[in-house]
Formats: sequence, C-alpha cells, structure tokens
Amino acid sequence: MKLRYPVTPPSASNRPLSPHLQIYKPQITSVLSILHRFTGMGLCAGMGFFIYWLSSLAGGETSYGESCDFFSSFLGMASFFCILFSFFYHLANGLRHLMWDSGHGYGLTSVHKTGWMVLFFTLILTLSTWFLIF
Amino acid sequence: MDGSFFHLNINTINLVFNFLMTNHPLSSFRNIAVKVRGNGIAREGVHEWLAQRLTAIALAPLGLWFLSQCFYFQGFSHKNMVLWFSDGLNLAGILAFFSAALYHGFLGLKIIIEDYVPCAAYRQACLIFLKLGCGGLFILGFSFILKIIIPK
Repeated sequence: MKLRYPVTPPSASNRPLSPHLQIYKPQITSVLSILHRFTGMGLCAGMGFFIYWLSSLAGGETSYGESCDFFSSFLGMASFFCILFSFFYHLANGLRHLMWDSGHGYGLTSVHKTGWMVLFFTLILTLSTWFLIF
Repeated sequence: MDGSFFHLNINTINLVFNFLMTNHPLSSFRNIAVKVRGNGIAREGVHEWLAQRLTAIALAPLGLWFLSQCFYFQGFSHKNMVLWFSDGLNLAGILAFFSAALYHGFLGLKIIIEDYVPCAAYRQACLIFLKLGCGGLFILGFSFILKIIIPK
C-alpha cells in the first residue's frame, strides 16, 4: 500500500508505545476471539496429521502399522487431544460466528452468554469423546 | 469587473492540492482498483467471505461424521481400512471433508497473513507460497486417496 507521506515503521523507530496487551484485562470477547484464530491454526496442523495418516494408508501394511504406533504413543495421543479440543472449540465458536453473520446475538448479555456456552460445549464434548476412547 | 471568472488565490490552491493528495477516485487517473487490490476488498473479497462461510457450514457435519468414523475404525487392520474406503459413501465423505477442510484452512491462513505481515511485497510472496502449498497438499492428499482405493 503506497502511503501518501513518509512513515517510519515501528521496527525502525525507538519511540515509546503505550502499553496495550500488558494492561488490558482479558475478557471473554477478546480471549474467545483470539482462541478461535489459534484453534484455526491448530486445525491446519491437524490437516497435516490427516495427510500423514492418508500417506501411511497409501503406503501399505508396514507404514500403516507405523502410523498406528505413533498415534498410540504419548505424543500422538497428546496431539490428538489438542486437535480434538481445537475442533470442538472452533466448531462451537464458528457456529457463534455464523449466528452473528445472520444478525442475531450482538447484545452484550447475549455475547457473554453464548461465549460461556461455547466454552461449556467445548469442554463437555472434548472430555466425553476422550473418555469414549478409553 | 475586469473579466476574470475565478480568483486563483492561496485558498483554492490549498484546497485543490489537499484534494489531489487524497485517494479519492477523481484525484488521479490511475484506476482505484489498482490501489485497493491486494487489500482483499477489490473484486474478490465477497467471494472469499462467502466461501469461508459455505465451507464452514459443510465442515460442521462432515467433521463430526469423520470423527465418528475415527471411533468406528479404531482397531482396524490395513485391509479393513481399504475396504472401508470403498464402502458406500465413505469415499465421497472423505473427499468432501478433505477438500472443504483444506480450502477453509487456506482461507483462514490467507486472512492471518494479510493481517500480520506489514510489508506489501513480503505479504504477497507469503500468499503465493500459501496458495502453491495448499494446492500441492490438495493434490498430494488426493493422490494418496487414489492410491488407497485403486488395487495394485
């Protein structure tokens, strides 16, 4: 974007900045929003795991056995748990975003209520699927 | 009066100069679309917004279906997995889930790069890399699925 006047980028200047992240109290609106972005990135990594699983299936018996061993190991289980949490959180908050896109739920009480519903839904579903595995 | 229609004083000069320094469509003969292209709103922004919502709506049931199938084939051998892929609508489900998830992820990562990379040239380079990478991953996954279902 060509600017109409010279601007010093923040990386090149030593001017002091007002504190923002250090002092603004984390609220359900901001935390859930950044968590939505974070879980989105986590799910992109989850797609990498999915493609790895597909490649192990395509490679035959031995490679599939290796990937099964990986997913049964501690690292595989931990990453699967993270992907599960990310999926349920991103699903719940995504539905909340779609609700906003349709025009509903912009009031402050509604935002807070649906925010806590999203967290509750995520926790319940993640823990219940986790205990269904075992 | 002396016949002059308007006076070229410092106020009008100031006004015209300030107007020419804005990004108003009439301030320059360059196409306004050239200036806003790359900011995500000229010509393709609405399509990206809609594609994100549509893939999200498709992914909600597809993701839950894939998760339930993951529980279904927990102890399966490789042979049973290959049989599962060619059973009924499972192949269509996997293809739909994979395509929608990859496209949705690509759109999300595109927005993240547009938000956090300040330099325009570096940002465009990152976006090109992302497009090629996601396209390549799609072809890769598709080729793996083909390799699974086609008997040797």
